[in-house]
Amino acid sequence: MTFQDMILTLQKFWADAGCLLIQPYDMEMGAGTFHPATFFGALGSKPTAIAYPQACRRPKDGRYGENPNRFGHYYQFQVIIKPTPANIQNLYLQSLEAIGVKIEDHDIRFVEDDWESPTLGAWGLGWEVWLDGMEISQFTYFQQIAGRDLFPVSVELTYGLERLAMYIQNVDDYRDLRYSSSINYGDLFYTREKECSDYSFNAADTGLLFKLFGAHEAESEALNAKGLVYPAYDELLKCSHYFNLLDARGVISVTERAAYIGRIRDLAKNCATVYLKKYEEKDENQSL
Amino acid sequence: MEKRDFLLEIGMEELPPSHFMPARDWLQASFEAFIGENRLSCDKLLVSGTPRRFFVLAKGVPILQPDIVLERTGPSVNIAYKDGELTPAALGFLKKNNATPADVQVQSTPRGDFIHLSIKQPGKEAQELLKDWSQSLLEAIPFAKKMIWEYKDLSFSRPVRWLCALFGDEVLQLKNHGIPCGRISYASRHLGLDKSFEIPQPSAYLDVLKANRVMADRDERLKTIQQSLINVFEDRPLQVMQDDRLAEIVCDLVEWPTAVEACFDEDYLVLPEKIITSTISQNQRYFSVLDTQGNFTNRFVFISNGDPLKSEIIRQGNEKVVNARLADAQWYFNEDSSRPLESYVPALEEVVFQADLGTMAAKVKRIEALCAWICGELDLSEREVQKVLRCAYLAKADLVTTMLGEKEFTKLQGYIGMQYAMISGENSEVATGIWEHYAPRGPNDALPETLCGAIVSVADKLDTVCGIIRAGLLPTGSADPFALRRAANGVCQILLKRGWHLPLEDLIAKSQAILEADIAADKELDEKAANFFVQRVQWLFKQEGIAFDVLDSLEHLQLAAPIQLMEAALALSKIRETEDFHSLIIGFKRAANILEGSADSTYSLDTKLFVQEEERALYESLKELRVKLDGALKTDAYEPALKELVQIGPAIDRFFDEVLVNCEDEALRHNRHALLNEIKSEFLKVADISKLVIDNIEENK
Repeated sequence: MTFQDMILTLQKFWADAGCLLIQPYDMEMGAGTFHPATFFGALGSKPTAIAYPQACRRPKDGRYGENPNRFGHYYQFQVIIKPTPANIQNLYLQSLEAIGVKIEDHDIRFVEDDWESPTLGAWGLGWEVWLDGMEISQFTYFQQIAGRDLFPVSVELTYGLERLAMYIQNVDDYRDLRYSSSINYGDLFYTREKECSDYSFNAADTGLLFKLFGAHEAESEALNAKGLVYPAYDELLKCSHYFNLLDARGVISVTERAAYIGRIRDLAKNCATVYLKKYEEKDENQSL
Repeated sequence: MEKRDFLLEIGMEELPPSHFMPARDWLQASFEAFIGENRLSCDKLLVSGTPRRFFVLAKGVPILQPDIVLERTGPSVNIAYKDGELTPAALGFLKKNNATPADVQVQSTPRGDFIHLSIKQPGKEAQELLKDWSQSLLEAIPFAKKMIWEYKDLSFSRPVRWLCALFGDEVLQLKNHGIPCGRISYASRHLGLDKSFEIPQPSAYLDVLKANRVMADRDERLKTIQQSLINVFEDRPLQVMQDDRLAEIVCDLVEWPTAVEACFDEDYLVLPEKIITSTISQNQRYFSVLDTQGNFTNRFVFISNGDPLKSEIIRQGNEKVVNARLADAQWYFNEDSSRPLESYVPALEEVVFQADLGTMAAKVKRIEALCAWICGELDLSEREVQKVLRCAYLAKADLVTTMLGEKEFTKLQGYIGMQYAMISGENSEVATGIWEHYAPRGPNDALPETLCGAIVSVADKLDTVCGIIRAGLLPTGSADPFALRRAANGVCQILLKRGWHLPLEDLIAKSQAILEADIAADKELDEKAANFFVQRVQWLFKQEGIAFDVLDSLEHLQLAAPIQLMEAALALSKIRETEDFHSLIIGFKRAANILEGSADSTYSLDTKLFVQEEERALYESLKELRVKLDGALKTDAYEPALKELVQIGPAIDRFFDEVLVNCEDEALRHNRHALLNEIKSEFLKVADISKLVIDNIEENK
């Protein structure tokens, strides 16, 4: 199964399971969880069921394209469902079967993982899913977002698409993944991966990045003050991305990291507050 | 009585390994308590489970509670009857106990005759009692961390998906938020999606589960795992490195264990041991394999939860993962060690330690300055000093290597530095010091063994604590993002263990002075830093078993060298139990109380104003004490010093017995206060023994 078929199959599977197929977000993010459909979708009481592939950037994971398993830019497939279906683990396993992983042939394990995103003030309990020792997915029942207790609870499934595809196609290097029947993943992304690593580790102007972080932080706060929560959240995404770049350059110490993460978390808390006030309280009152 | 077997299975999504045993223990205790409280019994009890299920299997539970007779005594016969009829008081008593007049008996007691009921209470059906117990369980089982999934009022370690409850052949219909309950259970995941089966009766439980590839009894599973780890290399000169903790974790990760032998690429054996073991055991939960000499080999054994017939596919997958992870590590290792560790130091200029405290390079400069000062105070040889300073210079260099840029190995900070230092040809003590300067990493972690490690550790931690507090980030409540408590504890522990005569006060002052290069002094915050250390000293001494009042009375030594405080505390703890010392405390408290009520304690002493013999005698004793104390304290000889205090006790007692301190004559009164005040200041040089708690009754005598 090619990489693109895998995405198509997962989309079909989850659409058939009742999910709305939304599209990747058009901004840089370190993980699919940052998509506003997940962040806002998990807040409040409205039911949600969505699925989407999302390009993720983790500058720190860049290896100039040379490491067979690591890259600074990759894809996740994300499913968010609220409230959580009782058979969600089976649905997930069925989706693996759909893309060619026969459950009977493997050691599939749900290994405890207390997931948290300190940047979003979010945490949840669940697992890393291991396929013969390899982490292929993150499976999480969100408990908090932006420091707020959640009910109903959302379940989030995150598939690491490249890793899964490497397993399914039995290749040892991401560059050899068949993206489609005619082109390999490496043909598409190797040079890009190489350049972006060079940018992240060497060329990125750290002075500029620090400045940008501050500017977008201020803008997010200003927009939230005006009640413009979606644009304010976009600014948060910018901050998060610049933070990731600075982190990749290694110019933020372990000690200082916590402070930067705290600043982004404050923005997330503001966004959640404004969002709930603007779009949820009214509905909740109505439902009373 | 007829007996039946009881089974309760709680089916879950995979439980975290560390959650299993505490919950199992709780479940067993809860069931045993339930049996006891309800006058039930069982012939055999097994409480165990797997990552996906807890079960309680109780064989031979009587179907009925035994009947019991409740004895109830009512009003006296005089009150209970009027004109041969039961009075309203008696009828009320009957009503309360659901009895009729026909049940009434009369009981004679030495206090008179009373009406009495012997109420026979038939035993309840065990089925109902078991049902009640089972239904109350889910909310009650404690877990370190719980989550909600579907129901607002039900939290558990992970979602509960099915219940199976049987008493004999019959299903107990449990009502639990609508979680399905019956005789259906689920098979091992590798038998396919959602494969379920029926449990005909409790006694068949373990066998039916086994037929469905679930070894439900944890003890059996653990033994199977341990045995299979031994069997893997039966005839070969290899053995699995014993790791009982890992075996338990793995046992709580699988339902149907199969040991599988695998290996990683031999080339990776050049990597330092901890890098390999952190990949193999910590990340992947595999067992390392040693040769007969005890060396690591490129083999490992993992416990599969898959179909034993599919072990070959599963092995290939696991090997791929390990090779990929080790390839990552080796890439960093080669990249990093292609240049000397020293060459990474300049890059610390680009790493911010903390916004207000500058870069990591600035921190290293401060650590070096503080180390130099400590070396001077400790009067170390030039050779030692050079090693310590070299260690300080290199201590943080590994932070900017690529190995630590990688999240998976951040726990190895210091260890990586040590490895690279050795490759770069640094002195071995310097290299070890780089690793050890992070110690202790927690309350029970070992302290640095090398001098380099100990000094750099103290300097680094002092700088962090004094610096972060000066930046206004004193920990509040449980929030301590910079782990300052741990750091300050570490400083105190090392100073105490090493027995260095370095006053904490001086160390703090020096560190704060050095910090001024990067952040301006702030008197108020700097005092908070000193107080913060006082709290940590108190924590440490409490750990060491020193009573709080002993510590209270040695307040003037809390920022002295911890060893000095310890010597004083031990001496005081020992002597306080003696009788002479006990009366000395009382005498001293009396003096302290009088002085507390005195308006001015700065009267000067005039020996010409002594009137009574006892005044003069006390004064003479005081002079003698002063000389002796000065001698003893010069060498921190606390035990002799305390004994000197005891010597003056009788003179104090006689003084209080014979002399009226607060007399009419103002000049005499002031002079007597002055004498007591001088005594007090002499005592305070050793300890404020008025803070020692003694029995109140004796004190009042």
